[in-house]
Amino acid sequence: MKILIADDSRVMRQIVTRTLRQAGYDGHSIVEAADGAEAFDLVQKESPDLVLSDWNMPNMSGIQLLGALRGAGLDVPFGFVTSEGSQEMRDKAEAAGALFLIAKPFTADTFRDALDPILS
Amino acid sequence: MNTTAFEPSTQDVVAIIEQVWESFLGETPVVDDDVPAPTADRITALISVTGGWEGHVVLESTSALGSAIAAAMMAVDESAVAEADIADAVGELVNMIGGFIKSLAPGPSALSLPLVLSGRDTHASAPDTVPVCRAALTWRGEPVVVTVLSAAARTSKDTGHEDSDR
Repeated sequence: MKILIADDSRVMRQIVTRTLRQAGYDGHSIVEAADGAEAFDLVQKESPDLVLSDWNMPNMSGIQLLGALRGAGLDVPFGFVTSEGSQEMRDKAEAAGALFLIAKPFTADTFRDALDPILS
Repeated sequence: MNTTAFEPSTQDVVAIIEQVWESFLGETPVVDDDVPAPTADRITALISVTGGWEGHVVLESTSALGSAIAAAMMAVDESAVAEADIADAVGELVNMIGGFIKSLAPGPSALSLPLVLSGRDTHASAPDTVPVCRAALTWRGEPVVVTVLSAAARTSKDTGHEDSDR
């Protein structure tokens, strides 16, 4: 499977990649985007099986990215990995079509709980 | 301007710091109320919340801690850490602390992107704010000081407007 990780922090993209491996999801190919606009282009180019996106990013936020993808008819499974884990944000994420919201900081167990229904 | 009082406790801030450190950095920092704010060679990260509550979260430490944090988060030796990685890593720390504070504050609100300053004697200040809590810790001998600043509340007396004018 191919997973696209969108986060303006290169350090966080590395942590997400490492946590995917620690959660047992090694063997998937990873594509990285530094903002929502780059992620939108890469979804069309790379056709990932899952998008893991930060919420707050320059150029295009994660919620704007999700809206743009759905507006373009792209139904790629999408989840947020964000520092904003309030119920308000979870409700917004769900309403926009996200399958889950993982709050930072996270653990490999958190990733397994969110991703097992999708990746296993 | 804040019309709703919100004062996170030091315990709230310590709790999220411990959670972040435990998840991404291994050993957690130790609370040390006597640790002075770093002076020379400091790194300062600031993130802002606007909306239902207006304020800022400021993280201050040393460049040495920034380098150690970046190396730990990237799982590399410190010799492989670049300046940009340090700003990135410290920015992510304040992002997570700020996101947690935002989740406690009255909403709806928005979280800014982090701002990171580094160098000798750098200091971030936000006008018209008051500190509402401060958490001081040490990690590997380096200080970690997190301050929450709240935009000062204004009353109609301060603005010169009578209530009937609104």
